[in-house]
Amino acid sequence: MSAQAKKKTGREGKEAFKAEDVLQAVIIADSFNERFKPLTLQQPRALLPLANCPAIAYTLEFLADVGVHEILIFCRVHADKIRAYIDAHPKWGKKGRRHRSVVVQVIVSEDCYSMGDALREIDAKNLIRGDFILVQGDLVANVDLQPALAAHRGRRSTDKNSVMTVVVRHVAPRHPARCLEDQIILTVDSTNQRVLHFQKDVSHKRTRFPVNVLEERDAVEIRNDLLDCHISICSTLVPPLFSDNFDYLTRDDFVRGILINEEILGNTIHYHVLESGYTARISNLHMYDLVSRDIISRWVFPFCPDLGFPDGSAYNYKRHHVYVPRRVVLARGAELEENVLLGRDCVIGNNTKIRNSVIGDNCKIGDNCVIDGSYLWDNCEIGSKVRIESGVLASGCRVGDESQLERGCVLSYNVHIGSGQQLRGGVRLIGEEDNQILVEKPEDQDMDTETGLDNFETLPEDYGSDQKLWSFQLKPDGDNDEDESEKTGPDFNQVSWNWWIPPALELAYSPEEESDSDEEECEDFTDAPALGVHHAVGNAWQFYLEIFDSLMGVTNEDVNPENAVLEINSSKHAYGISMSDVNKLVLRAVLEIPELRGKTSKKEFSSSNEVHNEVTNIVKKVLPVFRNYYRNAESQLDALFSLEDCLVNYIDMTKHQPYGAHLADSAMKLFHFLYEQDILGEEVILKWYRQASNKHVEQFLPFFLHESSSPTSPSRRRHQSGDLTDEDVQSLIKKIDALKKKVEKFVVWLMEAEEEDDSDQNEE
Amino acid sequence: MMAFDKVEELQAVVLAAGASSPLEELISTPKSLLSVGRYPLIYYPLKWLQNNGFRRVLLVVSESTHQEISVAVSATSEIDIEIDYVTVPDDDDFGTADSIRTLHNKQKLHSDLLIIPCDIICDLNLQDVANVFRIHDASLAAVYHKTMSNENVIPGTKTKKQHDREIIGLEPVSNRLILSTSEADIDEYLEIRRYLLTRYPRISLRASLEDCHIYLLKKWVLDYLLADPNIGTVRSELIPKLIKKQHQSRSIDFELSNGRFAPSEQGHHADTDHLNRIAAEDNLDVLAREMSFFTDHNGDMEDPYFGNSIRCFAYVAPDESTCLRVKSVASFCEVNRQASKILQQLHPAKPGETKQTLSQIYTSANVHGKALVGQDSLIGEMTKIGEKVSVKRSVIGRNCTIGERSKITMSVIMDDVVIGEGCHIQGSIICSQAHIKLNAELKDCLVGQGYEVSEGSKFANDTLTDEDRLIEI
Repeated sequence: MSAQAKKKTGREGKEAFKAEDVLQAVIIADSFNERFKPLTLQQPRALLPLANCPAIAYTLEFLADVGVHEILIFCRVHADKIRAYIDAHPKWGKKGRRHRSVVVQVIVSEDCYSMGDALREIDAKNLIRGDFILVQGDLVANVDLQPALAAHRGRRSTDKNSVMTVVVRHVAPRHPARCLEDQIILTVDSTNQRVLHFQKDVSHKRTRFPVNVLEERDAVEIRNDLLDCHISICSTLVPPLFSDNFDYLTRDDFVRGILINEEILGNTIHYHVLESGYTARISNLHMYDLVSRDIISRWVFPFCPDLGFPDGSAYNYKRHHVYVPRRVVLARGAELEENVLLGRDCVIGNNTKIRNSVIGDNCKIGDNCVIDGSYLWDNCEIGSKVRIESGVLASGCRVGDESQLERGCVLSYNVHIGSGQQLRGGVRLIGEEDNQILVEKPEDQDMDTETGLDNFETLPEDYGSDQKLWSFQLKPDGDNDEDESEKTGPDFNQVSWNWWIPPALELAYSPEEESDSDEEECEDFTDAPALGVHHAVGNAWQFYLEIFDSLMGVTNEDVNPENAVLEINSSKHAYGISMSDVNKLVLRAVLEIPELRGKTSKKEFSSSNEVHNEVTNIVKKVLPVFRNYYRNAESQLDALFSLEDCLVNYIDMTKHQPYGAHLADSAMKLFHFLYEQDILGEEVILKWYRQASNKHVEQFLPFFLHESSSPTSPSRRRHQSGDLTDEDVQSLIKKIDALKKKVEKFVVWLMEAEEEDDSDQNEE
Repeated sequence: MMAFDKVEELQAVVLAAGASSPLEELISTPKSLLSVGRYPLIYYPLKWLQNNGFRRVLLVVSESTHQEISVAVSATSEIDIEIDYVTVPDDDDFGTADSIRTLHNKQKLHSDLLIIPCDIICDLNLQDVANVFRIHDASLAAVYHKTMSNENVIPGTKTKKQHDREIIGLEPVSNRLILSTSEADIDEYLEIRRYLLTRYPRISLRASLEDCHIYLLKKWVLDYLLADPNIGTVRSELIPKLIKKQHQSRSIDFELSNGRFAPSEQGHHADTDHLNRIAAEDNLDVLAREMSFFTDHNGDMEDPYFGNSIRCFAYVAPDESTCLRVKSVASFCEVNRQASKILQQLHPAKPGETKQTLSQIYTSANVHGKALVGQDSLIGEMTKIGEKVSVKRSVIGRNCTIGERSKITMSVIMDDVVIGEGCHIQGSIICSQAHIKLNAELKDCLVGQGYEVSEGSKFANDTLTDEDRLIEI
């Protein structure tokens, strides 16, 4: 190494030392969104108890662990509470600071509406001296950031334009920690850890990647296996860059903006992949639920309640992840089944069962309660025989005896519920104090409109309470219909609101993935038997209803049959139904029309003749439609199978009685009539007759087979997977044979006629 | 033919019926007989197959070139491999897939196929490629190699460089071929379906790889070719279709083959349906896979390969290997420049033999003692090289005469070329029977068959052909 180079590295080493000297971290202790409302009306999200310990304590402890020397906590709403918490804290407070050399500073800015504003404020106040770690106040992590920091510094020493290192964790795409809101897809250059494209959009079925990233390089990687840790290692350039561009509201905006302007400004973003460790943000109630469970099941080691992290409370750790503090009263028969964290001075009544739950300090739970998957904060009082499933009860809530809280209830501070109440799932209730806050704080409302999240409303409720209650809910969708057309994917507000339902990743991908894989082929050929089956059946049902409507129009309102054909054909394309299915469904619809007409006119069919007449009348009306569809032998065969399907299945369905029975009785007449009208050719009928009955079953439309059960029940869908039991098939075959018997006479006649024809021809 | 007791695992098919040649403007020789180094182009794939242990090869040739090719091949003493010629019509529309169908009709095919073009020059170990094919019980294994760099000047009239790199998406660990598209087909954005990203959370997009047109195909693909007569070519129709169709899951196949949605009259669907049914795997294979712990991915509970019965994989040739297709003037020059090196690799020195077998200069060639012939040049039989001639990085064919004091660098000179005294030829291709007269200077030029370059003329970046003659053709 030349002397010059040596000198250079020496100097850089010094610089690195300087930068390392004071490692700063910025905690944005405001989420700037309302996922937790109404729980955040009285407390900032950072102070919400997570496993009986304020969320921000985890963040602070994590940062101290990483080796941060100075932590800046940036807060807006409830800043006083955060400041009070920090000041009074034995470790971080002014009087505290026992073992550590960590300085915690609370910065308050009332007029910040985004993370971008916060960083601009930080820039204005000139608080940043070197590289810093940017996190949010609801981060729970135990990862080792040293390699990421070292990589960042290494890059900074050679490339001053590397402004930010985004820390990500390698996880599988369906990992539970990947909250639907936080799905990221990075396009990266894996040779130098550069992020080339940042995508955070799950709403589309197809994801688009710019090809221009391949212009300068030969290979890029698209990664969907990364979990955004929400930890960003930023250089000193980041706050000024935020100041330069007021469009940057969040870190994601920033990353996107930097990448778009990469060519102009030359700034680059890098990523660092962690292969182990835990990181998650309690970005919504679902994540709150998930992270709480993870803490209890010790994924976030060393942040386990019994180890005194992060808050120094003492618990005894028992098997099945049960944590019990010393002073607690457990009545005889009280059962802490698994994954339970009890607060201090709790009183649990007789025969009460608790599982997968966190109970705060000073809670009193009566006898014979069941509490599952729920979070009770401090000072809650629960009566006897109460059942709470997946609920969040903020501090000071009271629930009277024998009340039931269905899944997903959220009770805000000091909400009292009377006895014997039944709370419907997903309801969020607020008490007087919260309502006061909502009413008194119009400026808060302003902010809401600005961030476009002013979509809550309150309605008075009762629930046998000794005080006034309001339910707090998302405004119905109609209010923001303007951007509805643009939204194709899941609505995050809605998703996070329904927090107790496991995250609907499926919503974004799977159900139609199979049909998807074929979509390209089917774009031009919409009649698609190759479409995914679920898809096809759902569609076919919808399509059937449309056919039904069209044909009803022809029979009842004398609509021109040609128009009906047009309608059917166009919806055929819209629903992607194959021609053969159309043929089957048309006939089916015609056969069901008399039945519906009979119902509407309260007419009872008393004889098979009556039914037959009715059917023939209708067929005569829709004859042009039939002629259009049943032109060749193949389509006629479809019709015949459908007819058979209908007759066979109709028979024992109570709801079709007596129409179905009469129809089946008049089967031969119907065959004859259709033959006479040239709808069914004789070869077709003979072919059908000669074919083995078990082959027929395969031709039946799957979704009619289980029609006897309710249309929404899963059993109807079950059939699609082809798992018609052998018994089902056997009974069907028997019925088909019976039907064949019924029309035997007619068929024999046909055969004779055919023979005569043949012999005639022979004579000629 | 019956001499083999065992059915071969792979049958090699060399497709040499293609009409287009990179030098078709200059010389009428069929592509497979263009001379590279000192052999016709067809020699290279055959030799490669021979080196990799093939004893038999199916060679598809067009009717018009059959004679010519078989003569040329049998003249090459080093090819010791049974060649089964199959002729196909000289029709431009008769694609490579049609050739494969012809092979089937003649009942030549009975196992999995290795399809290679006639213009490939490579030294890969075929074993490695076959292993990719075997490990995953793949339907298709395609060989990719790093695209040749375009640093060298291409002789002839300058044309605009086209931007048509192929973009392929690979799963980085298994090299599963997830998608393939061409840069020209994408406007600004590449669209990837969401579920593909879920299945393959890491997709490595490569733009620097070139399809070498070497394919290993399962036998059932043949059935598919027979079922769908619309597929004309292997490369541009069959392979993309396989790659696209592989992501369909088996449940649909099952459903379809169950006859619930019987193929309707639309031929199109019958076709989709067909592919799935044809690709259906052996029940025992499926059972074995279901019972084993093997999976090709992690992070979910899906079946290995997500239940896909069609699986396409890529074999990415190591950078240091040679794998070049002679498809353009540029690659023609490049292989000739590398000819002596490539020949060395194709002829591993056997014990007891000296490198003499690979002498650059045939003994029958007459090289003047004071001529300079560089180590990386090849001189053909009966060629006369005059005094003080310098030949560097060039290939000179048979029966050429090179006059005194001429300088030849980075060039390809075909057979029967006469070069006068004092010529300077650099970076050019001179086709057979051309005559370059005294003191001519050619730089980066293409000289057509039988063309005469007049005395003392100078050309650069030009294509010199006898246009009248071309029109006659």
